[in-house]
Amino acid sequence: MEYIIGVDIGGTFTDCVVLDSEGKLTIGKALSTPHDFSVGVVDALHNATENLGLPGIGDLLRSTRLFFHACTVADNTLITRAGAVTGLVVTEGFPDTFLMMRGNVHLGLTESESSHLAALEKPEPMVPRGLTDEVPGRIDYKGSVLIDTDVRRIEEVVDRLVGKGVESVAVCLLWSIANNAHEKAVADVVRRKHPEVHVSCSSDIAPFLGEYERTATTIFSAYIGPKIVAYMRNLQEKLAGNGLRSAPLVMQAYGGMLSIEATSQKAIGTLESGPAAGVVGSKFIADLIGEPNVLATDMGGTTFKVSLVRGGLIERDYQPVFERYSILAPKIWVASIGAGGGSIAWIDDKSGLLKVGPQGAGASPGPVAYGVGGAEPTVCDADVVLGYLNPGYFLGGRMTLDKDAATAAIEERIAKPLDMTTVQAAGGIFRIINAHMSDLIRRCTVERGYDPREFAMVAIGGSAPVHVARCAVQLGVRKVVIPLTASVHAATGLISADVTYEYGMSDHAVVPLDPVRLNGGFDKLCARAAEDLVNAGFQKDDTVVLRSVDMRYRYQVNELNVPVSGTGPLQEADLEQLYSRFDDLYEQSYGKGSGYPEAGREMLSLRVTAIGKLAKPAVHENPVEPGDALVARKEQRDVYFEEYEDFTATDIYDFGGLSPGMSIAGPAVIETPVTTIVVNPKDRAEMDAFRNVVIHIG
Amino acid sequence: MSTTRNGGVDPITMEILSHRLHQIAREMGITLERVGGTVNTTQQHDYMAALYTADGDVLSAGESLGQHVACAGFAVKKIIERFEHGDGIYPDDIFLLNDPYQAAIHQSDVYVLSPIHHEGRRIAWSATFVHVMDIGALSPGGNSPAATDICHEGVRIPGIKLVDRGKLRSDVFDAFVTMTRQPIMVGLDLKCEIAANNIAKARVQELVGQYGPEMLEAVSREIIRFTETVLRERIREFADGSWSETGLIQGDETWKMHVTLTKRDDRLIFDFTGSDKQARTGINLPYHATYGTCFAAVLSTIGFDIPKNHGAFAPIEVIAPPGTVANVQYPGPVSLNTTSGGATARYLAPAVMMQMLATNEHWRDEVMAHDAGHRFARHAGVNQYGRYYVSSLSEGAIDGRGARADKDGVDSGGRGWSSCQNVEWVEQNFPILYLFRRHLKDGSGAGRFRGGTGSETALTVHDAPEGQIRGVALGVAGLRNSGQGMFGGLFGAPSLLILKEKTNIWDTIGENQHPVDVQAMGGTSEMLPYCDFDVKEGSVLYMRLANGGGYGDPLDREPDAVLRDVANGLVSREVAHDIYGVALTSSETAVDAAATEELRAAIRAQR
Repeated sequence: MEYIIGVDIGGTFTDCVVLDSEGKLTIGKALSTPHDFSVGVVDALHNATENLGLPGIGDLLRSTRLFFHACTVADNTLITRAGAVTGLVVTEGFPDTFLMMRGNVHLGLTESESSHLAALEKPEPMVPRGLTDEVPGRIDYKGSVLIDTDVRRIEEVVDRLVGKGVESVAVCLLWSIANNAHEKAVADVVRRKHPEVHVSCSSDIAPFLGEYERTATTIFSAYIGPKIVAYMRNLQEKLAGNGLRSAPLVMQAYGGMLSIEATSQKAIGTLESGPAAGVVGSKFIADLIGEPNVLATDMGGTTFKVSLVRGGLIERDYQPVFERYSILAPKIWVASIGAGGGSIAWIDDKSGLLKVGPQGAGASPGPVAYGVGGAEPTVCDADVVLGYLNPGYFLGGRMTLDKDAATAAIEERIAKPLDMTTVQAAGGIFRIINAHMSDLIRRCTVERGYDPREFAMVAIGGSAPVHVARCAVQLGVRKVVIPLTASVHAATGLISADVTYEYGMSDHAVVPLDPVRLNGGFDKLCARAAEDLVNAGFQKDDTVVLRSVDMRYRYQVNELNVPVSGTGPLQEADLEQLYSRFDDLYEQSYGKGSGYPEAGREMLSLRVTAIGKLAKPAVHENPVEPGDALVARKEQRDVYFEEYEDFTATDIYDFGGLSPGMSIAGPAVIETPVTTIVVNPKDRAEMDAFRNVVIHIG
Repeated sequence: MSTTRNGGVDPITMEILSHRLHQIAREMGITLERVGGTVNTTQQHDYMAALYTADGDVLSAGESLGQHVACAGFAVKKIIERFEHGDGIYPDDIFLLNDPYQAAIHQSDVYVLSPIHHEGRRIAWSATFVHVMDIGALSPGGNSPAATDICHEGVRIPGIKLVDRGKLRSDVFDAFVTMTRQPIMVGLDLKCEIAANNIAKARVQELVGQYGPEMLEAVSREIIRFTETVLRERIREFADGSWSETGLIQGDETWKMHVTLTKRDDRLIFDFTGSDKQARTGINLPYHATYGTCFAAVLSTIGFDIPKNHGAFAPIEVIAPPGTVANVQYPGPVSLNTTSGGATARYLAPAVMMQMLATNEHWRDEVMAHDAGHRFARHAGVNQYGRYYVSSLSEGAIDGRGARADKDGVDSGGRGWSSCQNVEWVEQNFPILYLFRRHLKDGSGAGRFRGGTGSETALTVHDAPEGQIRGVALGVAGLRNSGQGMFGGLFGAPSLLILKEKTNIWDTIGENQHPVDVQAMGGTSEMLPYCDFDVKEGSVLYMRLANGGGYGDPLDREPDAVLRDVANGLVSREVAHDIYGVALTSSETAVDAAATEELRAAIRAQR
């Protein structure tokens, strides 16, 4: 037997999924261990070993062909500002670019945060001004050197920074994207004089126009780099010590895998790699069930998140915001709001209106029903009052919910002041949170020119299967899928991923583009891609190389990433096709008539994505046989549905008792060990061949 | 369920629909940003997008700036007045307006307004404006220092149909864009406005399809009533009183603007009586712009957390005698006003609000030293690719903000939603080379909490086919434009534009040195008033942005905070010593506590 393993480190648990060569999935779980995350990884592997019935972890790891990993090391390092002491080297005359943040203090803040001027602050910078230094040398937009650099002064600057305790150096010089000679000179000095110091050049990390974003990206990478390198080395040693022969692969924020070596050079790629793995998991489910367009939703305790899969491709964000800084490293596109099971319901004393969120009760004190000190009613409490959640079987009975306390809290704090019944108040909380979530999905689809009716929804996270079917009906989504592997969803995403390298270069040109120059640029990037793929052991047949360009209408700031078809050299006709594809994409994204080709178009960057396909066994498919779901019915309980404006006696099903092909007409509730699935009156739930629950809306 | 509350709308539907309406207005703004042509729209957030009731009352303004929302409150009503009994208002019509005597602040602000119908009945309006890059005025870019009457300031349209029952009137569209120097870009701006209004219409119609027009009407009424009620309650929290402030607008002449804020019961009255007569230069504000500034000042101080809509109009009264700089009459010019009269009003109105806030314990934490705007420049010419262009420098986004009652002002930023262009973006698109862009040492107003540090920038022409580019100097000129301090805090360094000519920068560059010291550049220097100018080969445009005023006595500042400022290059050792009374050890790595105490005592004794 041969195995493929995915291990995802989350905030609380480290999840492990093992796929064997017969397509069978086995799960392992352990607590995460923040002091040394690799301990939790090994614990989860032990747990999986047990569940597989193998004698020891070595028996598992020795037979493991691929080992995939996602971790929160980078995120934790950044959020707690626990990264390396980082120094910044910039062009003389421009020392404050990073601190200025282009003056955009509002980025990454909520509307209410940014409207309160008296409370505004910039985030705590990763590099203080005192560890920023300037070097001579000026290159212009053409890449011409106007002022030479001076190695002697570079040495002084580097020595001074290292003398101040700098462990990692970020180098970002103006126009290094057009000519990186001066950046190279700085890196050479660091490597020559201080080989123990980590160095990151902006022309390697983010070779795109815009010195602020490029600096921020380089600093992030430099700041978290040493931590990531140390963690990866430690993990690799532990795994090898336990018998793993293959080199682990690491999930990147854009949803592809890279080797530990490649990851260490561009540590920023591991930011939000766990959530990325989750979206990859949703795409994996979508592929399994043959859905090309998917709303990947995730509703946990505090946050509701939405990502998109369109035409089988996960949507990306090429200029995401991390920690309020704007970054030039691709990641999976995600939108989120503060809406989760723990979102607090409150009455705005000014308006007398019922509000839900964005503040949450978190895990502690948590919802009132948890009975661990929470006093403010939450979405979860409303779900209990309305009968959706089973007080005696929450998380498969691992936790008991205090329905009376939840009821009392909603009655006292919401119903009485609003002169409503407790059920009306709970129903209101339920409706409002669903409306906010629907508004977010609308922002993710309708606002961006996509028709939600063409999407299926994959629902992950403990609270999602109670709520999202209500959003689906609001937006015309036909189908909601609750995956079997929801509790280890990111780890499932890991085992479905491929090795993916990303390359890019800034190249500004006004349309009509010169095919010779464009082909030259792509050839350069594709050659690097081919080399990396070969070095990673891929045969040509197992690789896919995708080309694209970033374009915009002249004078505009917003860019669109436009795919370039084929693999061969581009001819004039291909370029014409590219221009009209850009126009189409533009209209699709921003509305009919919004395109303005008369303004002219321009290209800003070339991008190449190189994918090395990893062979994996197909996931085991169960025979689908129509059967009577009644065998799985465990009880009836009164559940509130807004269609009836009242409680109704509702069948409650045990997920474990269902088998593929069984179908349940709403109203119904399906209880699984990790979540609760609400089937609304007009909807119908069905178990598919992979034991996913699919809710057909309306 | 109670139905008496919220005017017959249940509180849950009310919450859901308020949220939806806000989202719609916000989506309009996003559409402008995405489709817009000018950096004003795409990066500077200089636009307005709002939904209105059928009568033209502002209903929801998303994330638009307060002063714009108020002006926009006049715009739809003017269109209704003009067309209701004239050429008619039909489903799928779209109107255009940019007359400063009607609702625009100056002609560059081009409104696009659209009625929204449901089954033939008008149920709402949407409107947007963007600040277009050119409007066919004397100077490229719209702000015309040489203009002496409104007719020098470009196209002026009090209301016209741009789309007639769903059909774009290309005659009007083409006529309008052809009167500008940038027909393509202005065309793009009009397109983005049309797109945003179309989106508003589609979304509101969808909402009404679901909830019905009566519900929309009821919710609209309640949202507006809510804002009015809360604002009146908050105003009532303050003791009655009166507060005054005076500001100067300096150009080649100096004009005075004066305001007295009177708080009586639940009303605020801003009275600009005492301001100078209107100028023959375009620094003047139309009444609605003066009103808008006061409206924004009230909402950003005591109403930052309530929806911006027509409800806020009721408790705010603005008196501005006709024919003054605060209420210009025909044919007074206005094209410079946003950065002159407007900047001064934007300083005065919050300043008197801050005085009022400081009288109330509960509101004192919201007090901020205010900044008085900034100087910047437009530029135009032939770029390195041989194309004519008009654009605008965006360094205004990296000015320093005023200090707060409990913390320093924000360094380089925090002005609305605008952001400063990357040096690389400017150099890629225009024949410009930056020599430096950095924080200004000792620029911030000293105080127990210091003002935010602004920035300084120098640039020259590079690869300009014509050997030069044209500039327009904007903003409140002179040395009286800095952020004022409060409660013993000092003012920040003023914002300046200086043109240096015949400098030695290319010699310096030829010697492989960076010309980063303005003093060493040689040549001539001229402090630019409001004017047109040329940047020629070897000329340097030096731009210093506003710095925030301080809050409280600098001698009360934590010495460690001063040490940190010195380490971060924001405060010099000399200012630390002379103004803050902080003595550092010779290595500048620690505070000499004993010497500091002595020094501070000595400074106090001298006062």
